[in-house]
Amino acid sequence: MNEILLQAQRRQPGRSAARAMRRKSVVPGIFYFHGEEPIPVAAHELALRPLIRTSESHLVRMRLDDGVEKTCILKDISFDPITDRPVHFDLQGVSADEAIAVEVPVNLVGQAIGQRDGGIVEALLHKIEIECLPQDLPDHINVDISNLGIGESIHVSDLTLEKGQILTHGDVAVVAIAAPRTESDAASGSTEPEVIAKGKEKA
Amino acid sequence: MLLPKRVKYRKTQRGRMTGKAYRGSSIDFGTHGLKAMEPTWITSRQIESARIALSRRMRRDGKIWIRIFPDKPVTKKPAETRQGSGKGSPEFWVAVVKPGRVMFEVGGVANDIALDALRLASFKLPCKTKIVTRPDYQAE
Repeated sequence: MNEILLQAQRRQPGRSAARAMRRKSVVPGIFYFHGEEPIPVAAHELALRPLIRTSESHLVRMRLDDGVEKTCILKDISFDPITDRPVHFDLQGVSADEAIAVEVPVNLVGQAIGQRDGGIVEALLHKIEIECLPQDLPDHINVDISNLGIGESIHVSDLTLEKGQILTHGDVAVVAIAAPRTESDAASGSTEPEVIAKGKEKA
Repeated sequence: MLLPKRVKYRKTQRGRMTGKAYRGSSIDFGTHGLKAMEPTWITSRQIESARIALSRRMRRDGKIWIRIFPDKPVTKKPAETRQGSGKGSPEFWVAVVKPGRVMFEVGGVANDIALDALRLASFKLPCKTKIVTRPDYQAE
């Protein structure tokens, strides 16, 4: 389990204050935990980068400008669709004796047998939702694909977790080895005209 | 080329392309994507052309996802026709794309090949684009 220190500050709630912050590359966010008043916070975009540009899950130790420290997880983050810069983030507080639901990245390990035969590794699920205590939070979930042949797949139900339980449905496929693309696949283009259904039939 | 199998109405009005694409603006399937930076109509020919450019550069490796679909018919009147006598006949199909939309995604190939393939595909499209990468993507 990795822990990241996030230097943050309290902020004024509201749209115009948030916009003014974003102009200075400061991202508004919110900290919440049950039984506590939500705290509107803000952090510099660069300080958030280790939390965003990562393939591991982290616990966040948020230190506010008034010295208050909170342990939390990054629950959600929204990006601007054009610039891809963070617009807002949600931090959820955690307590040591309470299980949390969190999405943990999947890490594919090994080279599949099917890959050597020309197959394509398709990572179908990038994150798996698990429930565990904060101290048991894994960095990522390793999925060994070395025994997978072409046409085979690994489902969530095939995975085991040392501590905690998996919340994602067991039927969901995590990774599959697809057959190599053929030329006929690539040139699949139908030239047939569309069949037009009438909008409304007159009674 | 892509076109709908069935449609409810043969002809549509042109519509507006205001705002940003909030849906379909993040990479959901592959590792790299091509994002539109301006509003535009992308024809089924352009989609096909970009797809061919992608698959040629990627050879047989990896996978390509096309995240837009041309479901809007565009009509045209024949050349040298007087005005009036109704709307023209459907000529081609377009996908309405707003800025922020991830149009193509690739996965299962090396970083440099994915970037180069998307660069080549971007030349086939009528709008400014940028190449985006999954936030959690780690180049090997």
